[in-house]
Amino acid sequence: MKYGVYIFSLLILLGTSCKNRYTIADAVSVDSLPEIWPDYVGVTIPRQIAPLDFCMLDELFDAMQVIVEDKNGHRLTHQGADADFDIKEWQKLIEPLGGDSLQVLVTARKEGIWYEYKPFPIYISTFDIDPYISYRLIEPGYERAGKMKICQRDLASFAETEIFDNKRIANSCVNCHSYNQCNPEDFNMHVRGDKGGTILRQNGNITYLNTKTPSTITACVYPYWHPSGNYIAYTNDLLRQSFYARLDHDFEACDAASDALIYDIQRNKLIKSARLASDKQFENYPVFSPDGSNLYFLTSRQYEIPEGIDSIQFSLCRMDFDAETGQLGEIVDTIVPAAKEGWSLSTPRPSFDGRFILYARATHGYLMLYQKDADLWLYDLKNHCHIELPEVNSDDAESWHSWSSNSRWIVLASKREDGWFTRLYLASIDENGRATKAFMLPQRHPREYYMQLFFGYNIPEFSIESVDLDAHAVERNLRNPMRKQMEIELRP
Amino acid sequence: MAIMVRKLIKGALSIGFISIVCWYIIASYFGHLHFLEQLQLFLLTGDYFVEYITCIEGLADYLGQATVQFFGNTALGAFLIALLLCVLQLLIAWIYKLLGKDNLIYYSLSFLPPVTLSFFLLNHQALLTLLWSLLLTASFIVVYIKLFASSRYQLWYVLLSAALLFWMGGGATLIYLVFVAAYRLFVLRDRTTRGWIITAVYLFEALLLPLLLQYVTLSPLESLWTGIGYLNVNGVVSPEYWLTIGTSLVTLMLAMFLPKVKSNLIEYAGCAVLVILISIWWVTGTSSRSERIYEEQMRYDYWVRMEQWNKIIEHANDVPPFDQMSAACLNLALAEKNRLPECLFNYHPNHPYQLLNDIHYNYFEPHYMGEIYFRLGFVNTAQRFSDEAMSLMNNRMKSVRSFQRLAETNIIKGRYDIARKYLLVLQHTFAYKKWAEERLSLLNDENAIENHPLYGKLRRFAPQTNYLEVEKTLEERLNLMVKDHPDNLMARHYYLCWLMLNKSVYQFPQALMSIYTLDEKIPTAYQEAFLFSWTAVMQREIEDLPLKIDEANIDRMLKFAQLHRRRANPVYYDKTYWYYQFYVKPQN
Repeated sequence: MKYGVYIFSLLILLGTSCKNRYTIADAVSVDSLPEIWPDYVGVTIPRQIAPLDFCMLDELFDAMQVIVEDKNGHRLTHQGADADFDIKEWQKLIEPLGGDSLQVLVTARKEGIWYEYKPFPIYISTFDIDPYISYRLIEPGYERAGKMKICQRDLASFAETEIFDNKRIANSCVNCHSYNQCNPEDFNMHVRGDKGGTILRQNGNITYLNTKTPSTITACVYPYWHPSGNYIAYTNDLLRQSFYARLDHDFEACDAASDALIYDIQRNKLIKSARLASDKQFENYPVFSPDGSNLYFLTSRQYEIPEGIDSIQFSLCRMDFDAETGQLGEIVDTIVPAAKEGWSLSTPRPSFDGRFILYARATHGYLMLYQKDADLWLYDLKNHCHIELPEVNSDDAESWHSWSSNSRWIVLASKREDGWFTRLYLASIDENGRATKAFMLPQRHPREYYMQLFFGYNIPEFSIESVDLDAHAVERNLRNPMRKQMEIELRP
Repeated sequence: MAIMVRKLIKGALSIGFISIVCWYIIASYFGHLHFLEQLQLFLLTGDYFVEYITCIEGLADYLGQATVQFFGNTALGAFLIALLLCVLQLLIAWIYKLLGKDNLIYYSLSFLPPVTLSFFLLNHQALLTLLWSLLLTASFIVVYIKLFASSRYQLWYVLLSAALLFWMGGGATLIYLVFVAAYRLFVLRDRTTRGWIITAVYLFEALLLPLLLQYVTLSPLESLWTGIGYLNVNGVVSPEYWLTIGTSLVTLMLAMFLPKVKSNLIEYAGCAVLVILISIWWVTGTSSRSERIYEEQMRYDYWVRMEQWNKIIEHANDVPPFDQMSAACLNLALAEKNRLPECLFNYHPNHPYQLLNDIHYNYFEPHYMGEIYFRLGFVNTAQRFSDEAMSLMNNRMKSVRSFQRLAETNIIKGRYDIARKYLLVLQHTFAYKKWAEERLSLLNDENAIENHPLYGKLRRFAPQTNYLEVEKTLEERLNLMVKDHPDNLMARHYYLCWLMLNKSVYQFPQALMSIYTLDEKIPTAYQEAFLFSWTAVMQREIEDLPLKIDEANIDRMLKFAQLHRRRANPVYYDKTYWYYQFYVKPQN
């Protein structure tokens, strides 16, 4: 037995030495940065992020050694098929480095030969990030509600937990989760389908609402909280989706009709103003300014669908809003006349510091992930100018973005990896609107993880604490047909 | 001698059972095997195993899928189902034997649960998870009786093993706790206070496990009672599930209460009577539960997948399709053999949806219909249908067929990164590894794809005119395909046949004249439809016919018209366009 172990060990040694004729010590120096995936070269990360595990882009590399080192010589070393850092060690290394950087030295083996690349930096931001993001994971599907779930991710680790899975309610669609300025204590989620309803949680109490009224075209979607917690801005829309015939085109989604509305939670009144629900316009994506004194929304001339689909271009408008009385101002101010300029603006998201509006722009439409040319831009509310974000954008679609509670980080969904499945990216934006290179949400063994993930991400939202929703209670109450009916209040 | 005879009879019964199940599956259930096989994606990876066993009911689900992956081979699939049902029967017979009821009557009785389970498996939504759950349950009962029934650790063993079993097999495994509780009372006869308390604890655990695990697993409570993945649909429980659970439980309980049989005569006679009764129940139960339409669709779809066009046509000649989906498969076969216009009316069509349909009501119709769109050149539509089909299935499942089709559509579209994503997963399957590797070698090789007999053709037939699917009717989409690609013969025939079945008497002659020239030979059905439109609708003279129409067809139409005018149903002409035009009402 003892000899058997020796012989076995010898064989292993022989086998290993035969296969790898070269060691790391023999590594060939390469005068370039390593091509890694996900691309974390030169990215800026928060101190509270999970390890940036990565692998070589070229799958022929079968082993790598990665040394991550700060300027004081503290280092983290990993050897293996890919870079897979221990969470605690990683956090210990980066926690004190706010405003500083790390150097990453990659040595990787391909066809038995080791290559040592030039080290690349990872910058540690001084800006903190919220501890969680939540998002919807959805399989590609277009006509019926297929598999989807709302999950949350602890950004400091790789832990993902489920908030609500639509398998609980057969043939339902779960969407439109929203928090009040990243605080999930004020929580809104819509479930579409026979047993659907809108779930509204405030002060620990959950109300199950029927948001469809005889005077509105559909139930309420795309919620956005007023900072006071007393109002939610919604959209009513008749969504139409279709594939294109040509193979170089994919998919289109637009509304046949849409209105913007405001729900007064205390009075249970759904306020439908003629200025936000015109028959001749599409109105969409109403959002409140962070101080609650303005309502931003999109508007476009109404076109016949689907013929006029390419012509739909949304501009950004603003109205005063009085949170005391729930009254809208008289004047509709078009602050970004995108349609006049020949493009479309969508998904406006004001930063919570009141300085910027982050939005998506493309040639037409408003569901920008279906527009290959969709990019994210900032609108500077102080200097009244647009700021392009080349560090954040790609050749493919970007959209479904949102701000962290301190307005220094954004999360966005992008199709840049393969043009089909959306993935989440994070980027920092400073007080002057300068963005850092967007980096993919870290995952352990990212190649395997993303390769085997057949869900796309959408509607990512930061949250300052974990979303605690009793999914069983929600399911039970949704199965009960009792809903609080929203009452409509029509206004000029 | 008597022992030998008994062994022979038992062997004969079990082998007979296996043979009958195999025969039935191969003869009339083979489509069902392939239907199940295409709707799952079993991967030979450690991660996949871990992913399953860390979920409740995961091991039974995993084993069920591991079994189904072999269903691509009909004979092997049939044998595996028969074998597993027989193993269940043998386990139950073993339990009887352990309780001292080792005779032919009780051996016959042990066939009841597998027979009932076979009723459950006839449901097109049934997976093999329940079968494996029952196998695990019966195995645990055997282990309990043999090793732990008299052990002083019995209580702890039962509590832990029941929890483990419930985790591995889901709701059906709660039978175990009920059996063990009864065993304690009626076999061990422990009717002391402690005995009653322990029995109550067992039954309480049966109630507690689903209640507790709903919070651990975030699964709906009712699914924990009735199985999360026993059926390939959420929130539905089939009556056969309860029948199977009830029969299994009663059969197991009877082992405790039925008396021992001492007379050989009673044993043989009882066995014979039971075998006859169970057989009658089996036959009547199977025939009443067999989903005739679904089974027929599955057969047609299997032949379509295997491209056995002649087999489809032969089958339709014996048994004409009696639902639209089967008829659509038949028409696809006719089109593939370039016989669609000449044979379309031979099978008494009643709606244009028997050619093509854009609506689907479940997770498998998009597979069937997507196949037709794909072959016609509507690659984006085929992709949509594949995504839809997979998205509509029960939660943890992926479809190997969807993965294949999505890989193909993305290869044709030149989206190699996405195609690769699907192919890399397929590489980890038992049956599709080679298929995936062949496609992987095509990626980025434009020449190889252009020269591929199917992908190259479909690239050439890719729609040139761009439009949104919702903008156009199926008729318009077919028309545009024909205009973009006059050489796409299948699209041409689908378009013209659609116009005929849709009774588009004004559009048809225009379409025919735009496709055929004066001296071209035109299929008979088109001639019939054209003659009707030309003379009856457009009121034009036969002498002015702009296309080559056979004299014989003109004579036939005149005779048909005479009969029709006399209000005599011209059944002799029931395979003509004219008959369809006047006597067939569209049935959707």
